[in-house]
Amino acid sequence: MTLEIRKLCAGYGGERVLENINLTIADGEFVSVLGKSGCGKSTLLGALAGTVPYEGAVLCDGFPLCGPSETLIYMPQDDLLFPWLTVLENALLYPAVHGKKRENRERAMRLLREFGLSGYERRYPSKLSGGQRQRVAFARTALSPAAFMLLDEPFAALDPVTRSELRVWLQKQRSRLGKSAIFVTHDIDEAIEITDRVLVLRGRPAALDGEFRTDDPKARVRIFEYLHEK
Amino acid sequence: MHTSRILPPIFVIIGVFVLWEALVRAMDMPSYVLPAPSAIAAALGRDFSALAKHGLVTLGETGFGLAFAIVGGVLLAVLMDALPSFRRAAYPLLIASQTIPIIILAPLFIIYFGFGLTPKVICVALMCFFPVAVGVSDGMARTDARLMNLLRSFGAKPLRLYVLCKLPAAMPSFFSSLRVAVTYSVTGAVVGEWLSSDSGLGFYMLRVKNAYRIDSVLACVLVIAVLSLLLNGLVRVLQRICIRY
Repeated sequence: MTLEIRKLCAGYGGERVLENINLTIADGEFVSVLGKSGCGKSTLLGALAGTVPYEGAVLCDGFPLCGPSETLIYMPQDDLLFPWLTVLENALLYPAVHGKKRENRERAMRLLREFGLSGYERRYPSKLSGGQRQRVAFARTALSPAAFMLLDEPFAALDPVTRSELRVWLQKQRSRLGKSAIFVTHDIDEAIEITDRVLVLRGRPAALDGEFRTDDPKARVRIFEYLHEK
Repeated sequence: MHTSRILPPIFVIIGVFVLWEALVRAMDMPSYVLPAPSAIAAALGRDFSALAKHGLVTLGETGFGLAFAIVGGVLLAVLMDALPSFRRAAYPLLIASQTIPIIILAPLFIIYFGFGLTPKVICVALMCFFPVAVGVSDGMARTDARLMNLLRSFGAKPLRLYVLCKLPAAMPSFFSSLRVAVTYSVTGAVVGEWLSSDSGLGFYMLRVKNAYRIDSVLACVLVIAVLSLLLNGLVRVLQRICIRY
């Protein structure tokens, strides 16, 4: 599946935050959107998730998407686990919303095992560490049928050690997740480590005006210089 | 429960009873004015089978009334949460309904529904309905908006939003309000029995009062207090079972 964003403009209360965003994401590709705090990164994901109104077009394999859809799944900054649900029930939240909890139970158990959460299925989120909670949130995201994940700084609320552990973990889990992703972050290292392409969002209203391949050995320096040039 | 939490109230109760006993004996108080705690304990033992029989009737009325109050209170809270205009219209009436003492309404229920179980159940339901409705409504209003937005982004319909998020989020408030409601509930049944009944603790209390057996009246009061405390404890146990996180 290919996701195409064409001439997307979005904002709040008459103020335009994003201007003319064009982006194409190929099947299985991880793309990061990098920018300073408040530049409109989360607004972009909000527009794609259907919670922020926008102009322009979002197409999946050429078909337009509008509002919350089964193609895109949003994962917020905080893990937002439901405190009254167990780890397994939290992971099964998307199927539960669509009345398909039972048929996804085995898949959820397998995924939790693969995510290193075996034995934690019946625990409540309050009994988990920050890293474990975030892995449950990833399992919840993975258990949706959506082909594209909208990851809104998923490691921002974690301590530096857990954060670097989860970066390595996510790299390893990419194939298991079997999804494409738009990964919003303001951390250059995180963007390079996890994704295939880095897009820079800057200006007011913000536009995507820089693109870098992360397999370039000088990507870090190039992105840094680009972010700090006038 | 820790002994440090149990012991202080036990000591206070024992202290009050010892003082009471001593005062009654020292002042040679007649038992039809104020019986000593030892006389109340004797009455409790003597009347135990009658108290148990009437207590069960009161407990049954309380149970039915509470069940109606819980169902009605939760339904009204959901309606008020889902329909803000309904909330604006119903909330003042709900508050106003609590300003009318149940003892004034109870005779009307007897006129409308006869002398059977129904008027007592309505008394209990009316007394317990308000805390449940307000507690659940406030609990749902305090639901974390981010959780609701996450469910909406998953494509959740309104019914799923309530089942998966709003109602579970309101559970702690529901149990807090239920603890208040069960404390009122036995009183509601007894008030109903005072006005017209041929069984129940209210009926028994009137009968022994008319015979000037104040020790038996106070034994009955003790049973009512114990029933209220037991129901309160039952709610706590249910809360621990239902809210494990």
